[in-house]
Amino acid sequence: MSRLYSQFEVGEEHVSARRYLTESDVAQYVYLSGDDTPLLVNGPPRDGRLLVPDLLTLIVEFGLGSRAIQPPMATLALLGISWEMHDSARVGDCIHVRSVLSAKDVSSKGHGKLTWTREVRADDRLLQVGEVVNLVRNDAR
Amino acid sequence: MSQKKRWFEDHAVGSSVEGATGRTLTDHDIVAFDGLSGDFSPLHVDHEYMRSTGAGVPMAHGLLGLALQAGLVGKLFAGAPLAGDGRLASVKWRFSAPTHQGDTLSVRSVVSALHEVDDHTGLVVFDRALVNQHGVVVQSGTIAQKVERRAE
Repeated sequence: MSRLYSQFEVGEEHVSARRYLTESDVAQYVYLSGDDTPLLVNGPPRDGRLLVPDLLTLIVEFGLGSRAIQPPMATLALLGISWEMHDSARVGDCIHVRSVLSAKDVSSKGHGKLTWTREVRADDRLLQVGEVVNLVRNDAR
Repeated sequence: MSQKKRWFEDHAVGSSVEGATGRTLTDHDIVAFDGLSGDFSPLHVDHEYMRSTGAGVPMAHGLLGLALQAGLVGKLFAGAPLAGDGRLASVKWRFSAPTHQGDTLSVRSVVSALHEVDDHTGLVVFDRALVNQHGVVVQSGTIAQKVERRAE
């Protein structure tokens, strides 16, 4: 059972579970995306921990953030993101996501847009903040 | 011999690149992204649900497209990667149309702005679009990336 647009309230907040970012995550990201930037380095990382690509942190954030909303949204589509990167994660960081519903707008066909403000942290370190806009169904199917 | 790189100073506003080769999305790509992201929404994994909505087949995750554009752009400059460690400053991205298994995606990238941050770093802002095999822009937006400045 998923939640329809009308069942969400502006201001509701969800905090995700925590997930470790592993070297395997970085390898899978490179393999899947073809973005081998993380490997094109001049030498070992300064603090001995591999940098996690900012897009990979964003990708993992999406999984954590979406699973934190229970029952899940009756999502029809992801419409857009507006994101700022404050710091990069390192392999071994344990990240979590805080999501607050900041706006609701009725869209065409009676569906609705939900705008979530999210922040990604590794413990107390702020990594990324941004907004996600989802199109969510409003008719029980 | 040091690796050839593209420094902040090597970019000019208006300079553009377009991918001659694309990448065809496979079911494996979508399943692998399920696991990497942890996003197992029925939109991406449930064929029966998607048939019931009239949409047909599961769609690829929007962020899979964003990740693929990074890989496609990287291949355009495989001989000279951006100087630095690839850190981003911001991403503003629209998802205009869904993508599915079998779609072939390519990328267009234009430098839209340059900002000096300090003596060591600059910000290169790219306007980018992900285009399918029919010439439809399925995703687009602006990506600001930190790039090292050439030492004097």
